[in-house]
Amino acid sequence: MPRILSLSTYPIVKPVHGGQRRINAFADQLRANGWEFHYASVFEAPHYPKALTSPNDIPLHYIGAEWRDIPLIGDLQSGVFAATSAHAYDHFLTIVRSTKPDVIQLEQPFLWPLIKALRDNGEIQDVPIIYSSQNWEAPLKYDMLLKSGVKESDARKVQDYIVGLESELVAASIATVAVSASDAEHYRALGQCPPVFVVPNGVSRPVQPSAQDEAAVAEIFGEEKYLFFVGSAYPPNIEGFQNLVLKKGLFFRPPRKSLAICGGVSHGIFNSPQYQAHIHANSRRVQFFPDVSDGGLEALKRSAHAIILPIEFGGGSNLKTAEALASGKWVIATQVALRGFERFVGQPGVIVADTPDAFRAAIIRVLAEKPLKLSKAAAKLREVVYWDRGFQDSGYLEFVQSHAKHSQV
Amino acid sequence: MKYFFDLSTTARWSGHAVGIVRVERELARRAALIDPDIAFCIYVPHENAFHRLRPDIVDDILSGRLGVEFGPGPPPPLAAVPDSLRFRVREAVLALPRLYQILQRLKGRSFTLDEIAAVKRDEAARRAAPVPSPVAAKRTIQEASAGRIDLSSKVTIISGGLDWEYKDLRAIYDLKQVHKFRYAAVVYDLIPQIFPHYVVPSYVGLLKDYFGELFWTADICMCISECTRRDMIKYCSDNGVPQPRSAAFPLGCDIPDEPAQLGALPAQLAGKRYALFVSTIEPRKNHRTLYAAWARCIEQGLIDPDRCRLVFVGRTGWATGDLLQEIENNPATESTILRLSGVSDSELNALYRGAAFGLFPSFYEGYGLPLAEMLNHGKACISSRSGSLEEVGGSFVEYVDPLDTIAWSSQLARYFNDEAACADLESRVAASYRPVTWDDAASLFFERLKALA
Repeated sequence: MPRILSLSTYPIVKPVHGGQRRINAFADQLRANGWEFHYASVFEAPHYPKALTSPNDIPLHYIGAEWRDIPLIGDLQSGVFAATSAHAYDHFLTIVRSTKPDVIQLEQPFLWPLIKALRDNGEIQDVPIIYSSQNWEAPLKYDMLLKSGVKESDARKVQDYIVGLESELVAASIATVAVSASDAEHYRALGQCPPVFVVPNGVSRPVQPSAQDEAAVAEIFGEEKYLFFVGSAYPPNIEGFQNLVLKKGLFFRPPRKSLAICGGVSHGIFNSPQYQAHIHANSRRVQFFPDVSDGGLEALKRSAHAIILPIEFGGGSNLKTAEALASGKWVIATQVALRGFERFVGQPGVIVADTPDAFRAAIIRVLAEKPLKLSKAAAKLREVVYWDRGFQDSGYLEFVQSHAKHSQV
Repeated sequence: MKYFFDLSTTARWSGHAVGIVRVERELARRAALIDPDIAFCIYVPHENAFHRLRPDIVDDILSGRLGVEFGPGPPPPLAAVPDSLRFRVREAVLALPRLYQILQRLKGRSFTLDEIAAVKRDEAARRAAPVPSPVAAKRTIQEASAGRIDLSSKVTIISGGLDWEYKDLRAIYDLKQVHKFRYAAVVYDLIPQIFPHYVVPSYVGLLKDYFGELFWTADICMCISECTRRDMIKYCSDNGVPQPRSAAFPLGCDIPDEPAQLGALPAQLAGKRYALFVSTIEPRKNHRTLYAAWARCIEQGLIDPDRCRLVFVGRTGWATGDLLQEIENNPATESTILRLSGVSDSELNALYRGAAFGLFPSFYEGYGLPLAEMLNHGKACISSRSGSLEEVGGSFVEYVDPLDTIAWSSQLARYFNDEAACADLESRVAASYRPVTWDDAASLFFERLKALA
């Protein structure tokens, strides 16, 4: 059985955020294709309690002097730490020696210093590397640092460092996996180009909600058409909803429950000044589900009239976009939210709106429509967002498979 | 269909009826004459219920002699009104400013006539302030009620009061879902939605909330102008709200003289020719342009400062501190601009009658009642076209852009100096202007409302 070792900067024991879910999707697909999948990480201890880690995950202890004054770069520090701390290096060396990987797949570029160190020490010279990108990291990190108040010169220094990491890594890899076509173009443009596969972020096939979950939804919304929004407490989710939906009030619906807001974003929206300004009117219209089960979430999504994705900034390609498209519902989204899913722009039931006025007008228009009924062709197109279809269409699995055969010879 | 006219605002209000309170009262007074089957009601928020008013107390409520105590707690303290012999003598003397001045001098106090006039105005304003009147008796809800209205699809509630203050529209929406009764609301304007920057900041949220729920709740909207109706239709269209059935009706512009009081002009206007602007002083009304145009007229010698006066009648609203500071301290204009507030209906009628012409430079109006009142007095008027003003003024008004200070200045000078131009416009008003009385307004209101119901 071929073996693959995946490395990154967070544990995946309980997948919550997009990166964790993506790595788990790789694990599922590779295992389903006969691979032994191993995973190890350096993680930032305060974010992950012990229960959410495995023995292969090691907490970040060392903070390199070069980056001491810059926040939000634990991932960069993790790579330096793994390569230069004897304790961390030995941890990964043990894993490499015990798993004997046929392929090492680096999720995000940050642990590249570790791979270089292992290679320099003669440990994994013959093991091919695949670079699995989750974003085009450098400009994203630059923006994030600037928004956090970091000096432009420091943000630029970090960006240049990541550009260096990615360039070396792409050149040293047998293949690169990108999230979107635009990211793929960027990696191809770096030159020295091994194959680049596009595996868009996707979603798992939905679970069947229980009758109890469905009844709970019916009790709250009855026959009312309602909008569905799910998101984490990640600031772009909160700010996008504030600006594109809340800013002009929710008076486009009668004072009945007609908006389901799910996940960690709930608290941020409830506490926002725009929500509080009309709290009585808003609370008549909004039902929050801050901590809902997967079954409950699926029941809410299935009965919703439309799914909204009011996201104005932030990187990557959102899993919730994939989930929205897969639902077969009306989808109202910004161009940012549809990044990685550009082929759906203009498809039936997908409405792009980027300003508060346009977003509001789209909501009003969609709420006046009947529930969306997709043609077979349109429904099939939306199925692309499932992980299995994404992997199948990308060519990645065949490539890895063929390479595994080579390495087994 | 059984109609109930809601007096929830009037039943709380026992001061001088102005604005919305006046509209509610004037329509209600005529309701029973137009249709004897129309009954009266109040909305009790803590019960979320409409109560029919006892017919024998309705007249007293409409005249302000009787109020209803809505809150479960004790009534708020009432403003004390002096009722001593000394106070009555002082009032009588104060009515004769020269005599008051002489008597005060004998006491060693020196007051100018302007200061005495200011004292009179302040005291009048305080008396006219909208606080529960000490002479108005109060009834509890139980005493005023002839029982809860049995709401059904055959009942229409007509509401024209300060609903954002005294109603819970979300609760009424819920009540409608259960009982299917109809709700007809008077819509005065949508300024909080269209021009929130012209609304007292603390009211913007309250009024946005009110309008946000109103059009989901009301089956019928009676708008006080076609302009307001157009604004309402646009709001509904922009916000995906089903448009309620609607009609426009005009407001009445006849102000009855109070029999006991004969309106007299303030002493400062004796022998003067004055232009009159009746309005609360606030940014939307655009006193600023008028003041600047007036100052230009004085500074450039376009009008005679000894003879011409600019008169502002209305209480001081919000965000006008800088403007009032300028008006009060500009040596070129200070003696030529007169501000009055708290005037009685009779005094207002006297001011209208005595004016050379009227002014209305507002940036937006849902109706513009002072313009109609001015025309009703046969006067020439210079007005902006904003909002509903052209609808009210028709072809009887000289229109000027509210931002064009130079044009306002020119027209002020023209109408002060060219009495023939003023008379020409007045003769046009006299020949063809058809004032709307409150009787007309009420007839149209109920006729159009019933056609929609």
